[in-house]
Amino acid sequence: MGFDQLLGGLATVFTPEHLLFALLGCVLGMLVGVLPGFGPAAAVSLLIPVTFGLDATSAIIMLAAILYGAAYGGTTTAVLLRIPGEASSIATTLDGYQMAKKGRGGPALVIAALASFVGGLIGVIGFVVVAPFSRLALEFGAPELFLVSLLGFALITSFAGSNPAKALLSAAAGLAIATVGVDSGVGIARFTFDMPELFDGVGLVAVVMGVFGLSEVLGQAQKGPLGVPSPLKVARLLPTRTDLQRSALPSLRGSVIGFFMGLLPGSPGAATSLASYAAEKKLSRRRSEFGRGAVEGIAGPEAANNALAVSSMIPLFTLGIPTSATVAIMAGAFTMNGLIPGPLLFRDNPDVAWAIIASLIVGNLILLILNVPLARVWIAVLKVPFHYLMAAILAFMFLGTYSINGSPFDILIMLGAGVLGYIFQLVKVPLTPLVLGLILGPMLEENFQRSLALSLGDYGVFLEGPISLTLIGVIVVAILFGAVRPLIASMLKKKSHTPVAPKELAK
Amino acid sequence: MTLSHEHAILCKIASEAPAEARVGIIVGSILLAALLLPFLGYTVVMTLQLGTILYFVSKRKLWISVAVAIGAALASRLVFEVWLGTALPTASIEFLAGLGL
Amino acid sequence: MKKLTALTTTALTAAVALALTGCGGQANSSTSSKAAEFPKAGSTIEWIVPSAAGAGNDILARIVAPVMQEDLGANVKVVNKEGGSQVVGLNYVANAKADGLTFGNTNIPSILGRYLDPSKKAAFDRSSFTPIGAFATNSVVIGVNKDSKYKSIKELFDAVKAEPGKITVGTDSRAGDDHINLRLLENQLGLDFNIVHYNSGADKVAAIVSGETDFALGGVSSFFGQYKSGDIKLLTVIEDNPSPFAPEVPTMKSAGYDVEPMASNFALSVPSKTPKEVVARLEAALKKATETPAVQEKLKGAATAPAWKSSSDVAKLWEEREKTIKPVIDELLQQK
Repeated sequence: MGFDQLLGGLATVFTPEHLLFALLGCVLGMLVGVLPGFGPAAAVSLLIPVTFGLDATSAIIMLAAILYGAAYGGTTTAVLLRIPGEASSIATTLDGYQMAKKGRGGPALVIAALASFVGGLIGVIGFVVVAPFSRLALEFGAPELFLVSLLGFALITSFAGSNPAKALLSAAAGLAIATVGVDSGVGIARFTFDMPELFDGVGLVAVVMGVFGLSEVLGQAQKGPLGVPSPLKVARLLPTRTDLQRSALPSLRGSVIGFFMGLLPGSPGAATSLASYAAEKKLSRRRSEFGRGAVEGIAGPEAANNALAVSSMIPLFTLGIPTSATVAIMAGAFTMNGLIPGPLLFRDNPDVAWAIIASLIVGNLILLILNVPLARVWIAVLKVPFHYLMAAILAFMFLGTYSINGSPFDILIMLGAGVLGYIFQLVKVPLTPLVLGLILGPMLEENFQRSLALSLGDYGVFLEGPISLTLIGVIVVAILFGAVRPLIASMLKKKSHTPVAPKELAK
Repeated sequence: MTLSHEHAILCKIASEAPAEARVGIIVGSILLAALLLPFLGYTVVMTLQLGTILYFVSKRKLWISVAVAIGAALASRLVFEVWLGTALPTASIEFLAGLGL
Repeated sequence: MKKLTALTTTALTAAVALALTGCGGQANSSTSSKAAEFPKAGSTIEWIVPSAAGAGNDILARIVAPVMQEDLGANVKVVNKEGGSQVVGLNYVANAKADGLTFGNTNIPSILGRYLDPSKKAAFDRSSFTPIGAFATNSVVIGVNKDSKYKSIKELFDAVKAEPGKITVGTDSRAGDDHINLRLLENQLGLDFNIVHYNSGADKVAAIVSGETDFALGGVSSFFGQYKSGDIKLLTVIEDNPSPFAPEVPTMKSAGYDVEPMASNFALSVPSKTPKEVVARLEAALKKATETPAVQEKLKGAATAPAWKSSSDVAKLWEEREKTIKPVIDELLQQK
């Protein structure tokens, strides 16, 4: 493996035919991905029949392009409407939607496309460098993954806002929702009320769409007045020089974070983009701008997202193991085209393998070129008067949530989550910790149970090996700096204040 | 009968406490729509939901609300069924099913 | 728009025809005329896949559906209804109108685990469905890491006997096919494994490649890539004859173990009240699709053996498998 083969692959992709299929895939994927509820996996599976009759290389180049296109489509709705098309664009809603509200939707979309491209490019470079060592990722077994998800809870502090207690409440609500379903270790039904729809737990995408998308619509409807059309002004389409400068480093950091997280089994996309967001917030000098439209908050997560999308393909190419639902469907596409994913691909069909890897760059490049002019079209959505836009958003969410599983039950979940999100916003409880709890809860529990099943009940399994010990060290540091230090600081601060008067307490 | 009755109640709510009522109408209409989806089918449910929201929440004229609701429901069904090739729920009530809804 | 109006008009005429013959559910009086009409040109047939988009079931359905569509002259749409470990989708098929316009995957033996296990709250049993046929089979194999100290199935099982409950094996889900097959194996051979549940077939395979678990059991297609690349060594195929995808792997029988074959059959069924003629029409279309060379090639590419089984053969197989599994399944799943 090496860069010369990658160049060979690029040469294969840069034929009119392959470029055409890549372009077609990007466009189709983007159009389908814009529909809420249609994430990359659903879009690829929906469009697989379109690729029948193509040769294997063209078919897979097109499917990969659909994958990226759909991911970008999800970003678009996250920025413009605060509806994350899939769980991994939650982080993008945080600042992207705020930018759109301030009339900077154009720059937000273009920055997202640029950062995605950087993420994809770094992902592919990393692919070539790291692929030979990818077997090391398998060292992350159940105990290590348990510790990683435990560490993930440290992210809550970054999304806490001004009141840590409220963030903890929100995270606890997320964890509580995550307990619903038949537990995967011993088969105990929890809060399922004998309804098969709840056996597999509460659907993440439905909750995310409700908590972020529907709650926002409800908030807007409550504020009103809806009779007066108040189109958002669209100041400028392209990002400013400062925007670009501010997003450069976050894109690079996001790419690195996303790349390494993508190698882990499970490739937790949503948690990774939130981790990148948290990292940018910690490192930024403009911390107060986060949540109010900071470009760093888009660039980092978007780059992380795309780098993860590329690196999560590495275990498929080198070991034949798809580590996420999205990659699994690519694996299906490989087999349907007579290719066996895994190391044999490089031995038996090296041209095809490298052409596909190279097409990952090309697909992202096409998306970038497409989206600079397209941003203008997307932005036009915001010029629709809100009283019509709101009805359209609600219809889209209704339809999109139904399409996740073809079940009206998910609409009820989305509705419930939306009402919960609306109430949380009224009482100023942050929403992201809830989603974080919902994502991390099952990971934490399953890997905990699995570890103990593997070790026959021996808790020492969590202390074995250098990876576990390092992770425990990091967790200890995170607790000390994230929780203990602020606690001491606030206690010291309180002491210096004058004690609260009894009269005020009586109130 | 029930519709006009419902209408009267909704109008009353809307005039008394507009802000919270708007939220209530949206939540209620989605809830009803989700529950009725298996019986009335996608097209009818989406028309009713959109119509309700456009008329009561967005305060559009009745005929505009109805026209936009029907148009949007049919157009979205067309996109999903013909272009995307997925299936949307159809009515289980014989009369509506007979109409192809 | 044209398609939609066509759809509406056909539906309208269908409604009128129904009204004239005066029947909704009990269609027996008019079956002969109905069969000649089935399916109406331009009507939509839903193929319910009770798993997520991209799952094995889904990929195979998307290979077969377009060919059936061509033969039937009606739209055959693959619809994913995931949830409740397939119970949500299967409930939907069982409760659908018995007009042949809805059928779904009732893979055998997978489906047995869904309705014979009372905790799954399935609203169906064998009598809820009429099979239209099966188009492929997937042999069940046992695999270990390439560096495993167990070189044969006998060495593995001897080790299990020597240390009951210590040798770990991964499944793709709790109470799924792998789990049931493992418990049957324990039951038939008097073994005791340490069964660990993973979230998907891929996670289970990853655990073998990394050496986290000692062995795994599953369909040959789920191990195919790693078997071909040499990362996983297959010890046995639980079948009377070797699998065409791994011809040199010995069968359980040849290793001296008396175990019932465990192959999984990709079967499709309609609700049980569907008129015979409609079932026959669907059966013919599925048979034709299964025998189409392009379909066979694609199925083989997915390491799944194309194998036609008629409606009556599937019904017989279903009944037989139910008889063997029913008495043990409840007890099996409660114990671990």
